[in-house]
Amino acid sequence: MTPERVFITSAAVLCTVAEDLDAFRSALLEGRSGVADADGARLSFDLGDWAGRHLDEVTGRRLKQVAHRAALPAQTAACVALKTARRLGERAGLIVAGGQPLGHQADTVLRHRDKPGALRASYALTHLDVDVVGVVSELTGIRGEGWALGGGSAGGTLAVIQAARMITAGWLDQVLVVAPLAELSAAEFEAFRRTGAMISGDATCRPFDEERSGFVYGQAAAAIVLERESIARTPLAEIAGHGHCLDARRGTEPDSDGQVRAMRAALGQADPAEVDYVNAHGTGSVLGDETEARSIGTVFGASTPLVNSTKPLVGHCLSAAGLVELVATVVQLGANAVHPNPTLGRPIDGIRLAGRTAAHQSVRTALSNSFAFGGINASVLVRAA
Amino acid sequence: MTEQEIFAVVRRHLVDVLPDLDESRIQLDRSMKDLGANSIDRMDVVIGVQDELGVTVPASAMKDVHDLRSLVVALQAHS
Repeated sequence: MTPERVFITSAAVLCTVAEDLDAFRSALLEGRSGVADADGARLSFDLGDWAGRHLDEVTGRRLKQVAHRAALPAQTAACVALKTARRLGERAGLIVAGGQPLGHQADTVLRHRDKPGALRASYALTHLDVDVVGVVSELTGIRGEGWALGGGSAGGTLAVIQAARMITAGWLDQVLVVAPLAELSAAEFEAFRRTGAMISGDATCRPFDEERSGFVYGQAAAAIVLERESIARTPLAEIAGHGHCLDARRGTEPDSDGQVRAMRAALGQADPAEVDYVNAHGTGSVLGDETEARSIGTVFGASTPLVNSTKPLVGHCLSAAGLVELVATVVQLGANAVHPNPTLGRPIDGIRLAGRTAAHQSVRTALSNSFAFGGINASVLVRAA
Repeated sequence: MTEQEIFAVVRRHLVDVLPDLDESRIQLDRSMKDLGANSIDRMDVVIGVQDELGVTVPASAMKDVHDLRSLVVALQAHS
């Protein structure tokens, strides 16, 4: 028996430029940027009023009851999970990408050192990545499997791959994939800066530009529902393939061989010429972008799909990046347009990059890349439904 | 501090932990469990109130707490 195909049937996003898919589409196509400031401190979506803007009164009350004392990542996960508007059940699973509340952990540890008596018992829950699993499953009714899946900057994409496999294997009918906002403490910020990966000061994130100097941090959460074909009533796009492989090497340096293998695995039997568009990992880092451009060139040769990076617009959302960018990819499939690379001035050679305005063209098939420290390479092929 | 003042602090922490709680139900003869607080919620209320009041009630004295009145009495005895 041929395994059933897997479709994305609902998607939600919460980021600094948009709180729903329509606004996300507009912001992307206009090339509007909402990246955080140099300290990553800006959080321009206000969760306090979010429920009033997006939920009916009863659901809003449930959100508050269940999530109001959880850490910020779990709260953002709860919002996007509810926004997918799916009641899920016994044959549904949940995969949470990341979810570690690093800022909350650091704040609590520092307060505990100064004032041990004030430590709340509930920190036993709120410090855990699986608190997101608890919050989201209570709000959505999911009773199948629940996972918190780590994968660094590729976490969102690895979660999608795992979810698609669970459905293909027949283990589950539906999987909700949620990527909470990736929270950092001051120590992780500074460490990222010291590696040279993250921009210092007020430089602009310029993926695939000769002047690029690193990534800029972003805060966003996203969620999608995957369903097997026979129950997918509202397909937005098909997960047509996926690839995930390692470089067998610890560290921060990218490896073109691993990237090529991941993209080729995602393409599977598909003809590379069929791919209209690549949503690159494209962080704006000096070595990372150069390596990815070479890898895309190797995989696609002369067929040259259009390439952009969503990171100048929403920032590098770290463990959420893969899912935020997959939602961005699905939105572009739906709009038959590729969003601009608004910060591109002097493009590097070797790939066909979107310009500074949106390209309106047929976008039927797209590849979304995510790479992570630790030699992790992942790629997902999506096709318009 | 008077019992009333301590009770007001307890009430505020209970509402913070249980946002949906009808405040009129917070009466001295009720227990936190009656009001819907689970074990972690109850610990958070007790810790938060002690922190705010700057008092520490030893675990042995907490054993006798069975409703909000006995909680207020224990807090007052150690303030």
